[in-house]
Amino acid sequence: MKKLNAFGAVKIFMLFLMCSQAVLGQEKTITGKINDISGAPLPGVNVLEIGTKNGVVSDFDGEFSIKIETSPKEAVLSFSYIGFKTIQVAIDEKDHIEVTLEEDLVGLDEVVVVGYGSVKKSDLTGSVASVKVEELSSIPSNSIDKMLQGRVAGLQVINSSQDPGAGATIRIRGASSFNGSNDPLVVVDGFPLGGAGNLKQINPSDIASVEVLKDASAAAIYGSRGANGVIMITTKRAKAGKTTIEVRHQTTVKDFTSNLISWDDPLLMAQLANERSINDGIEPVYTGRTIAGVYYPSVYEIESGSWPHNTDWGDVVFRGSPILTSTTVSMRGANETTSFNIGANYLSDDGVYIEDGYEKYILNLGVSYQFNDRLKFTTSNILSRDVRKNNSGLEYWRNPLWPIYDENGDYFRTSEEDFGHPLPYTENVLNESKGLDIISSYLLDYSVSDHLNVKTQLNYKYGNSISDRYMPKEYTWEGYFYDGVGEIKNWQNHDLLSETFATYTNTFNERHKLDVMVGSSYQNNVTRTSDLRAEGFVNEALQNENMSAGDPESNKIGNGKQESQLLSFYGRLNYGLNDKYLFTATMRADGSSKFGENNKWGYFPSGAISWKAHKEKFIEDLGIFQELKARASYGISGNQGISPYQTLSRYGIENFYDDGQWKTAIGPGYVSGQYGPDYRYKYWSGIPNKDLKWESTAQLNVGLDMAFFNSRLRTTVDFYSKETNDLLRQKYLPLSSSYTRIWVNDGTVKNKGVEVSVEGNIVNAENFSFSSNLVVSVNKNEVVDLGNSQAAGLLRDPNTGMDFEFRGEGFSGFGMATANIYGIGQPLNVFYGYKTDGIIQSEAEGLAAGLTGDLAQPGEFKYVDLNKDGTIDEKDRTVIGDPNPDLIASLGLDFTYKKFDLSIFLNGVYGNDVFYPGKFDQANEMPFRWTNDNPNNDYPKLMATRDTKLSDWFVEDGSFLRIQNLTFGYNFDKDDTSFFTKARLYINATNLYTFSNFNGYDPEVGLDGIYWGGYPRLRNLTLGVDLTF
Amino acid sequence: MKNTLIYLVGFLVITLTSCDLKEEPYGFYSDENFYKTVEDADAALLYAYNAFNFTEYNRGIIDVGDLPTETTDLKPTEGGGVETIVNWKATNSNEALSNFFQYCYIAINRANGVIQNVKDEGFDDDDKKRILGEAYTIRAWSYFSLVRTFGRVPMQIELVATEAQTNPEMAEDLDEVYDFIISDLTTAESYLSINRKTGRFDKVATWAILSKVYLTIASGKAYNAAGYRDMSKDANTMYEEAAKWSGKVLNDQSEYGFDESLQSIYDVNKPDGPEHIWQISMDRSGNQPGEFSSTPLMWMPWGPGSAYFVKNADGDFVKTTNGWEVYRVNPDFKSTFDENDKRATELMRSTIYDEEGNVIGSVNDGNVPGIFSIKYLDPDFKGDRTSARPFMIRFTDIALTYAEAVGPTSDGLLWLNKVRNRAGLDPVSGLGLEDFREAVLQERTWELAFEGHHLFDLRRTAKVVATVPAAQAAGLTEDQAAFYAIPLREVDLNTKAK
Repeated sequence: MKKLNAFGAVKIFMLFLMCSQAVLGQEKTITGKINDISGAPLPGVNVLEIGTKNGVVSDFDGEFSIKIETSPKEAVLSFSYIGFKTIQVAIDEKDHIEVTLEEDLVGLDEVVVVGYGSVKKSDLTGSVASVKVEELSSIPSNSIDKMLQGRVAGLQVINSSQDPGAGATIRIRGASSFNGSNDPLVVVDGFPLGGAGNLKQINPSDIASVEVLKDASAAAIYGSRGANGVIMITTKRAKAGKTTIEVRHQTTVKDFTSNLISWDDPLLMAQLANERSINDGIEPVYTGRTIAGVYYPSVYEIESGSWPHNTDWGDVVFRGSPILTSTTVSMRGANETTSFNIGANYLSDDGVYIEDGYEKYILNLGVSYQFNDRLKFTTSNILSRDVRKNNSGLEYWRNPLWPIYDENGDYFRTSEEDFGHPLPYTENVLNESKGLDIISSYLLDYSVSDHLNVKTQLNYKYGNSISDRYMPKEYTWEGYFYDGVGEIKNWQNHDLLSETFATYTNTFNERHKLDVMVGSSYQNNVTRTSDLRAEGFVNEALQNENMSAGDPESNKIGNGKQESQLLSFYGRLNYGLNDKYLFTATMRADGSSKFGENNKWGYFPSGAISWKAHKEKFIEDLGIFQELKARASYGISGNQGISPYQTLSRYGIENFYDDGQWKTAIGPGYVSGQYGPDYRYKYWSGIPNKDLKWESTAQLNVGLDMAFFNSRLRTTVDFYSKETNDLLRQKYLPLSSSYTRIWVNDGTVKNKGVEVSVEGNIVNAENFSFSSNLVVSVNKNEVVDLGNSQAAGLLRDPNTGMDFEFRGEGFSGFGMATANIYGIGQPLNVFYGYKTDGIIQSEAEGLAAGLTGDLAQPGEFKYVDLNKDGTIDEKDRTVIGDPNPDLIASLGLDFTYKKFDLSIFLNGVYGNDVFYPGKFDQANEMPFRWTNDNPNNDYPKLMATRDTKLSDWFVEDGSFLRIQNLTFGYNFDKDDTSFFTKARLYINATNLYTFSNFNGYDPEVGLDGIYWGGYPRLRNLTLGVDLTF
Repeated sequence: MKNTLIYLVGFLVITLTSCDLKEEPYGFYSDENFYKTVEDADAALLYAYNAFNFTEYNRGIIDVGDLPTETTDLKPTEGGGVETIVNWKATNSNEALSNFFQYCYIAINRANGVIQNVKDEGFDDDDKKRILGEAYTIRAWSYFSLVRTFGRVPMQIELVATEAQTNPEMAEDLDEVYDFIISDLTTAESYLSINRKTGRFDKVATWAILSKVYLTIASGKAYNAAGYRDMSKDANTMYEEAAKWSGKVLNDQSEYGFDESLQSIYDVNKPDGPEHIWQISMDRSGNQPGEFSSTPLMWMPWGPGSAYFVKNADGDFVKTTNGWEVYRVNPDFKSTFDENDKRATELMRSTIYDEEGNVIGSVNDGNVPGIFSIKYLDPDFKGDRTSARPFMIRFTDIALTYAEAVGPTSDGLLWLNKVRNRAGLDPVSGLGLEDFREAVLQERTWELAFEGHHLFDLRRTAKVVATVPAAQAAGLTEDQAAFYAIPLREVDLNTKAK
């Protein structure tokens, strides 16, 4: 929007000049026509008479008419258009000229959207990356976020969930907060919508450009929300010219990239299960006996076929080929005063589980009206509705010996408390949520004078969701326990932003270019929730439709509201000297209601300088660089981290039996959680901290932009160092305070890294072109400080003296040990546990290793006695893995041949570790177990119960290289059919193949590096068509 | 269209100027929106009382009062810190003691909130006095719990509302703690009237606590107990004060009195019996631990894993929930009772029965791990939930306080012998002051066993090591046994708690 507004403003400015100077007379009128290389007319091209302020814009047919002021002999016209090379043409006394504009491959004159304005790419002082949105258009996706994977150096996108409608995890230059959000801020058409991850309201086809603001100079203008970087999204708007209608359709078929690992041979499963029990001295299960009402056939029965059942539950639970379809119809048009765009999108995405799915409808309408030369009004409105029917998590791992149906044709259930059968679950459980989002914006753009422009806008976003759930008595554990459970959850959010900013642009003495912006904004966000829950339903026919049908005594209701306000003042100064030296300074003041009483206001300054060395004579003379630009920036941005009301005192509510009746008791301190064995101890919270404030990130960035070989090879390199201080953490208080912990700003995390991107137009022949794009980023993070080790309750590693704390939940398979830690001097989330050295082959070996009892027997893990004290205990733990990648890289290869195009996109992550807790439970691993007949050093023996320690045996290399996308397309043009202006037919394959040594299905897991198992990753095959009328 | 512009600009101006970044709490109570009415203040007062209901305080009553003494044994596999309390190896990182410490301060902080806020509100004077009087008593009782357990402690005398207030100074000496307790109780005494409500303090309760406080100081001085020996108080004056306040309980009111029936004292359905000056209010209709009582489960054997029957004090079979058999009566202690002492014959059991009265387990056959007390028994239990309230201050406790304070006067002998008589024992007579006081203390040991008193009686008379075999075995001196160390987290984080 910003891009087009700026463009529109120039247009108006030109028109204005034309009108006011027409009277100066003695003029000659020149007419002409502007085409692109294919001969298509180019509307909206700026035509400017050099040396004057005289200019016009080409019309729908690419034609223009200009009255020149200088003599026809000397007059020179300049033609400029975004995305095309600007050319100058001498009139040479002609009356009519034909001009052909070439597309500008270099893109240096591209306009880039930054916070509160836009800037020519060549004038950037900060680290801002633009995403080529058109390259993404063939990839099927619910939201733009996921598609950014590998597209920008320093941007990490993790798609760990395969559920339909699921979001992604997005990080710019690493994570830096423990308790605050690490999501970059997403700004759509100037409206900060919140954290990136699932921008489902915006149809990816409607997006015109995506910019990623990475360094402080670019992001600090967003102050207390800029610390995680900013993703700027601009949606498509109508251009002047004839009305176009676009139809896009994609149909995607999904399938697993590998076979589901399951017990194809139930005999082997039963044998191994028996072996597990026998090894542990327990009576085996598969002996034809009944345990707790469940009959387990004997190995003989299975072998002989007298127990004939072998159910492929994967086949029952998963859809054969889930389908995703997305259809978008949009229309854009404009005349001199009004432009509009209207669009509709329907997306339907099947989950991989039966009856699991997602549907979404988006309608959008944008209108722009030019009151006069100076005043323009723009509105855009998006209505988005989505429905998620959740039937995920069905048990595809169910015992293959259980049939689907029993002899009576009913579902076979092993006992009354067997809730694992996927079919009755699917038929009887209700789990659905419906969302509605409205995003509206109104913008007034007023050019006060030729140099001063004021924009004022009002943005509003409304979000609503209703979740319905019913857990029936018979087929779910929860329903069985509570006699049927019905739930309705309502969520509603209002977000209002009012913003005004003024921009002053001028050039003095042709060498001092000045661009000043000041503004203010006010944002108000309110979330309300209400939850209803009823239990004890006598009749289940209505599910949760009549909540009063539950037992009134067990009704539970809850409600909540959170309101926050943000008042901001900001400004930016850009100064360019001789178009060689560029300076930028920004400042933002954020006043947030979330901050503590003593710290309501935060100030976020930044500064940057840049030197366009290629404009220096001595560099120019080298003839090597078309661009050589050095940049340096430093600034401070914040992370709001705090949730509303966190700085206030908070009272608790309890019941007191006062002289024979229950009374409500209220007072200071409330229980915010429980901990310890059986969660027996309480966390007492509620002490206010009036000093609580944002986390602040200071970032230094040094970068170099280069272009060689007539700009056919372009490189950008950035080095950065980010230090986040005042981490929002909870600190323990003395017991006499009566509180357990308080929220404070304490602790430091550092991120350092290098980002390189290389783009090359390698071949650029008439019928054939080949270009390539390489993006590499390296980020190292380190926990520097976690505050006072006693107050923070830190643990100390006895061998290295490292202070650390565990984070995350404990694993029941490892005696509730936790895998991840925050350790001083270590990257975030490293794994902590025991080291192993293969498998014990003899008891003597086990005893020698410091193990005793069962753990010293042959076939057990041989843990390493790290501190050499002769016993294996918790003092032998150490850091056993790092889930943070050493390097993230991607490579794009784009070919065109005549009307065909082919693009291949590879994405890779290198050097990260993955913790795979279920590694030894898999049907493809278990058969390799240690036995007396097959002693080996890789797998332990099977044991029904074992004190398994969390060790590096479960840590694997998570590096992978993925053929992320492959697109092959054919472009029809006017020559092929007169019906369409343009048409394109393509096939796309996403997640085509992955190279990895990982033993699970796919190593792309969350930032904590824990692989939870699941099913294979999906491959998407898409057939798509784009038509333009 | 011009109107739109005016509207937009107008809106902008209004929103920017009306913006106030102050947060108003929603959906929860806070300093900002509470203590506005008498009802608020009453709710806050109940919140302060409720601190005693949490397991962490509630278990501490016996974990601290009885478990470290010769009277009580512990289930061998019990963890959570109590295993080192029973064998006198508890360190400053003991979980049970740290919890008890913290929950005393939770009560103090809640009481401080009431005192601080109600003082300045424009409530009716009667309401104010009633609420403040109880809040002062809660605070005094909590400090009394702390000082008897830990000795010198940090003095948190205002509501903690900022992090800066979380580093309270340690009391200089025991005088400071006790003077503070006495001052709170004296104020409360002047504010409160006699008004019995189960679970709450009234004027009589303040007299009772005052008498206990003075007796603790008096005997601490007289027996040269650690901490007390350095106090600038005179033992005799303190005995006189103890006699004065306990005398008021015995003579100046008629709401509470001596219950002639031992059985009815321990009848869970008679919380309004004459003995009960203060109990912690709990009821089986509650949903959360603390709202209901689990104290019987601490004593009752596991048995068959489900409810069974025991003989209650009057010999009838009553049904009871089975329990976790955590606490057991020490057999040597049981043998110190006279064979006719009803407090052993009627209140201690070693056999469990089925519905028909057949024995299903006993200490002899090994199915019951130890002798158990049935002072806490609720025949109307609902699963784990019972109404068995901890007996905090009984009339008999104060009668014996009086006897100990006044010595072998006729009144002193009268009260001691009343207690003995109820238990089925012969009266004593002809004792000198010292022997008489020993006799009273011995009577307290029998009478108040498993009600959370004994350790404090041993400490104030500097007889812990002399009496408790485990303390001897741990090699402690009387001075070392006099107080537990201030918990480690407090020492670590409160820079002034050194």
